[in-house]
Amino acid sequence: MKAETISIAAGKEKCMLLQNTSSATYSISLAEGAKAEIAIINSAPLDENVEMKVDVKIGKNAALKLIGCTLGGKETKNEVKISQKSGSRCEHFEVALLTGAQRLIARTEHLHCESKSFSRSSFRYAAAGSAQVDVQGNVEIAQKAVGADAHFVAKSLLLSREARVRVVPMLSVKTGDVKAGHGAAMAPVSADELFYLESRGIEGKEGKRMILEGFLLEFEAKQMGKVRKAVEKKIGEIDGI
Amino acid sequence: MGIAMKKAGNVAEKYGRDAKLSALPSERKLNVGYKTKEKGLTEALVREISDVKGEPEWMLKKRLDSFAIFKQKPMPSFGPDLSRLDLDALTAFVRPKGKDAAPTSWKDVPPDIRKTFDVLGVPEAERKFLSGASAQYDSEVLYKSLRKNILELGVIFTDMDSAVKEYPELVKRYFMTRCVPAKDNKFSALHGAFWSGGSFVYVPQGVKVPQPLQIYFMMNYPGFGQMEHTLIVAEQGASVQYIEGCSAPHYTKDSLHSAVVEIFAGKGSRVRYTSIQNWSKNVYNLNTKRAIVSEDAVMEWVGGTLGSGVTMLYPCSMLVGKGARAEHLTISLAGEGQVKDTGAKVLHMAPNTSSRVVSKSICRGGGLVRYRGLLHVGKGCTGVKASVRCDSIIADRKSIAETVPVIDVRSDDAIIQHEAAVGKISDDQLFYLMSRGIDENEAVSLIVRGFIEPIVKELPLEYAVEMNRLVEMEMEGAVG
Repeated sequence: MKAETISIAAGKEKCMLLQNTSSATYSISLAEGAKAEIAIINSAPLDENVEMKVDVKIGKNAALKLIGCTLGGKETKNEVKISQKSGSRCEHFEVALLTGAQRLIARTEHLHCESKSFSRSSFRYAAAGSAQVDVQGNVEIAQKAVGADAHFVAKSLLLSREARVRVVPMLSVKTGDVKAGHGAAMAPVSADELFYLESRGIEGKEGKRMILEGFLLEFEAKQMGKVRKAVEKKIGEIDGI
Repeated sequence: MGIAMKKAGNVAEKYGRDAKLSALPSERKLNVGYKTKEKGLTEALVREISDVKGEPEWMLKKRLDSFAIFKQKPMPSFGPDLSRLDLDALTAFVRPKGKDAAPTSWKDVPPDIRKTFDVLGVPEAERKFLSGASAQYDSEVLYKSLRKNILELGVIFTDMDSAVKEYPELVKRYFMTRCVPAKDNKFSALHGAFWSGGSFVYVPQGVKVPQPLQIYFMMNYPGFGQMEHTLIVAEQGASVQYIEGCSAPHYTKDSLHSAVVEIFAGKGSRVRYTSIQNWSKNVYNLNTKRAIVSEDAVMEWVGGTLGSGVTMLYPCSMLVGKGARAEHLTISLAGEGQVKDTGAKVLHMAPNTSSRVVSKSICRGGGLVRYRGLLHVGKGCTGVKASVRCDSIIADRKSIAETVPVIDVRSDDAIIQHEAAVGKISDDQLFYLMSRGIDENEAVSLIVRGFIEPIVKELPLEYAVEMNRLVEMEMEGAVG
């Protein structure tokens, strides 16, 4: 298993794209005031089991945008642990598009250790064929994390009758002066949205592709181009889309 | 009964004070008529209870089968710490003095016991706005009544012990069969072996009971295990509202409340089950409540969990018929030393079913509230719509709020939404109200009332007024 340590020094900025075709472990740390955008794309072969572990420590007043993109692997186990110190910011986006008999087991632990830490986590999953998604996300706000602001949303699209999604968005708040929330939603591809596109000359498969891409990639990042390219390629492999 | 909730505090205080002065009240003072001879939870005790009740053989067999399951089942692997709960130290059956058959007039209830229920306002509530009322004291139902016009419609509202003898075929069909079988969990098995009291409600096809039926449970004996069984059957097109309330004095010995509620909502029927729980803090409140909801039926759970030391409660709706619907509306309050592990389970097992869960919790003084829910959509269940909303107010830095919602979907066209928000009472809202001349305590009270309004508005007026008052009492001095 590949193992890599990424450290960003105090006050420095970094932007990285990490592409994996097999299991990997990443330890990421941001010193005080550092900024980083890190995208990790899993495009392992569909017959290979993958384990991805990411351990993140965000220092005081540091800011991280973390993007995880799961497209490959037969059975993928993702484990992400994030801890934040005071005044730090974290935007965490997870995207997964699974087809055939792919399986994703994702566990995320996000800990606000100290005061005035801020996080926004947005997870998007789409499952086609007989793919299965099993996600558990836990946002914990410790007693010392007064003034913390955390929000976590997990949205899923089931693209076939055989696909299955299980989401457990957990929240544990151990102090009073915080803002915390989470949400989860599942729905089919909207018939209204498809009709809207058809009425503008974009029909059938092209319309579904646009909606799916828009659903999965509803965030902004410097490395958007590369992430979009990987997702588009995967969308092209889905039957009926 | 709304008055009952507030005055329960007075009753608890009275006994609590006595308890402090003289350890535990004497058995004479506790109105004990009969107490089982066996110590601990044993097969002999199961047989003694069945014998004392004069039950038919089939019920004894059910009890013994449940006891065998209870011995094998492990304690739950999730939820609050139950290690201090000593099941063998509990007294499983206490019959109050003067109990031979439940009278239908309050004047025939033993005076000391009647006074307790008078203080709680139960007879008053019955006079004013109930179709029928029932009152349970420790292990036995002491009072039951049903308005004549409701009786004439063929409605049955009686205590469970009488139902076993008077309506055996009906009870056999429904009692701990497919809704809550004994093997469901350790506490349902315990209940199946040692249950006593509770009520049986049967509403025939097409009958609509216009006003609620109510039962009030009083746990009086220290170190007691109250395990009443509620069975509600609403046939096709029927409609019924059922309300239960409960309280207990505070002793140093822990008590257990392990009830089972089974509801069968027939095709096109409507059942509303309302429960306001205000047990004292030495009570472990571990219940199993479940409804099987048939085609086009509506099941509504409205609950307030205010008391007890530890509560584990997850009312479950199994939507087995197409078009079935469930609503779960709950309030939980956790103060110092309290753990409320509550939630809702909804299983969508047919097409075009829908559900809504709204859970509001408040914790202060080091209390812990935890929402634990399950939303399951089965394979092939098309057209399902479900929403879950669980919000919490944490009033100080000592308290904890957690949510553990499990969403498991196996249908590609289900529309599911879930959201939760946790925070303190908003400073902006407080400032807004105080700047308009409202003092801080009143402002907190207004905000909290607004927070719990979606649930309280579903209660009958008297209960709603008292629920607001009880919550206000708990929240006094909460800000800061």
